[in-house]
Amino acid sequence: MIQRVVLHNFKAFQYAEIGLEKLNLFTGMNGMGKSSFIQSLLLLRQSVLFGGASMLRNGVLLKGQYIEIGNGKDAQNINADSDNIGFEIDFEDGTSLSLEYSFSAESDFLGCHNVRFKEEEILKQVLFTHGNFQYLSAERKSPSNTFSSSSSQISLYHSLGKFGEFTAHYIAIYQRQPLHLAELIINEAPNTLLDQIDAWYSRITPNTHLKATYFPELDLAKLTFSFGTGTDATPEFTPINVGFGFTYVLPVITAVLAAKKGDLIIIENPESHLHPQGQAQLGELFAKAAQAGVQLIIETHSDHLLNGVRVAVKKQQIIPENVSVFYFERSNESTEHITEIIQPQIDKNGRLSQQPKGFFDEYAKQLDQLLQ
Amino acid sequence: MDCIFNELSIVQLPNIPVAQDVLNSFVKTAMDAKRVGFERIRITESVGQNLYNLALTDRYFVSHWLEDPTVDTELKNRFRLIVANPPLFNKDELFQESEFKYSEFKVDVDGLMKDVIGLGVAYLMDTLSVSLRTNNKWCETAISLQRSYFDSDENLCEDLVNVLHLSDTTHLEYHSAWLEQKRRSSLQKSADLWKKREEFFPNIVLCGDVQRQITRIGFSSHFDQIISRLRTLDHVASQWKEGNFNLDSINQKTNLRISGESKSTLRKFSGERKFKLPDGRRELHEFHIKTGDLRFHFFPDNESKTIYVGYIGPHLNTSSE
Repeated sequence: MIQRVVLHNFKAFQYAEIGLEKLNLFTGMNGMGKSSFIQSLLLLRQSVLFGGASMLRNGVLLKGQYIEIGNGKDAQNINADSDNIGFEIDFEDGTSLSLEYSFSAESDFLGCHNVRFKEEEILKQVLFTHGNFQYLSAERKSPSNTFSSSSSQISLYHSLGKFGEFTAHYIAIYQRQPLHLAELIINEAPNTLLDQIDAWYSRITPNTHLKATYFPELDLAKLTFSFGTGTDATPEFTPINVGFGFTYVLPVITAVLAAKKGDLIIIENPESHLHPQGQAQLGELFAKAAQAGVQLIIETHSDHLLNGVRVAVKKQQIIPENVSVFYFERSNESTEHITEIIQPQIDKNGRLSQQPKGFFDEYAKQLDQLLQ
Repeated sequence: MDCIFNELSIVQLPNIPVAQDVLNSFVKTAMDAKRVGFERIRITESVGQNLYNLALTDRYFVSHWLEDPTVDTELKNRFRLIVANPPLFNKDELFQESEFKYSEFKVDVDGLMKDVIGLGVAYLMDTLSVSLRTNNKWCETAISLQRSYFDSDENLCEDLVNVLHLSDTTHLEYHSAWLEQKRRSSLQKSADLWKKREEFFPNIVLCGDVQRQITRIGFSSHFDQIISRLRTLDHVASQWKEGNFNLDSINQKTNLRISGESKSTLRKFSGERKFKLPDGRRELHEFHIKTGDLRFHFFPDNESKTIYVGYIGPHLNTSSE
């Protein structure tokens, strides 16, 4: 598990340090630096996957399989206090990584300045391995009649793709597999990946049934949705003909239900296109997975998702110490662009230790205007 | 700043229309209080954990009111937001906020002296208490409390104190002068603290972030105590000529009661405690001194024998693990 991340002169932060828990919610207005943390992890991962752990001794790739930050000038903080961009990561097992790279304005490669880590130790971390890591970007595969397939991605790497584009193929192949995490199983349904996906979907829209088929001869996968049971069941609809949110959230639900203890899952805006009840259910799903030992880093704008997590804490589905909420805010008082990170804590009653201005207070603000 | 709810103001009312009026007035008052800077109303655990089952009349509960189709939906949702978010508190808060080891409060309600937590906490925090308008007693702008406490010589003392009180929007107008004076005096104090820092505290260094932090404190009643503690720390700094900073010896010789942080707090929240020194170094300011709702964190540099204060403000997050 990643326990601590420090950024130095990287993107929104001249300096920032956060301690991570099992479930981490990154919140805040647009452009405040929530993504900078996620990007720092992704660019280290893409560099190691490209050139092995020794790659980090040479430098990091700003453009790669997960993200394309651009060139050095795009990566450096505008108030940088030196020509170096630094990253530090501490892992739960005591392994640590301290990396400083030289700034180079027009290059998408930042060369090494000073690094400290042990290759054999960091290669054990799920951040740098295949099979225990999922990253789903804010932009995901939209509804379509067919979906891409990749046997190597799903079988070798257990990856759904950064757009979730291999999700249909993954479900088609692994649909009969039981879940690894008993905490996520909805008891009314059999313990297979497909039945459990249906069961979680049915909490959003009752009696939803998914079908995923892989066509090897065409090298593509298809999805259909049907609703209702028995003679009342509807015909099968293609993703284009059911709500957009059904397809958009499928990689999110699949990534979590397929997870194993110790996995790392990073998801940007899981709530996209999902109605509030579904967003709150995601909060519960994430909380249960985190309590079962998955580390999740979630970037979200959803108060429903946050409230779903708060209720999960109150229902003791997750202990409050396993949840960290980060609120990224820019100070108005400073002439410099400084992002501050505030950590409202959730207590055992699901209540928030503080609610900084702008932290999910819009509903109250609008209600106040209606009531005045 | 928080308002503190008076748990004794929850009583059964004669009929449903009266109960509806009382809650309507409570929500409106809370909204108006928020507009002038009282962001939250904090309620006791006994009320907060049993909110749905609180009886407003003999058979009309808060849960019925929340489901009542004749009550404005927006009003009910606003009520939910007021009561569901802030942390609850219990009797322990009376000990945490008190300068004495023990404080208890009683209030005379219709000739009976009753124990009360919320009104006592509001008094100790020097903030407004807030009630439902269920008794003429709760329609006043100040409420007299009987306080019992052990003084510094362990003698049991009793006295009468007044807590400022609110149950109606018009009360806010009454309190506005007090509020404004409190706000101005805090602002003035924070400006003076920064401007005259070298004169007030020649032996300690207030780092750059402090200037912004103290303007954000708003109206805390503990500013004077912060200044007094900083003076003591300044004196400690003036005596520090050799050896490493010695926490135990300073705690023995002074009333500063300096604390460090637990390992789990540092693991989870060390980022909140790292501040830049004027020379650009960023150091962990683990040691801190508490006064009421404020804290300051400092870093003693054993090399230069200098004490840097990097943070003054509300208490930072700690881990309960």
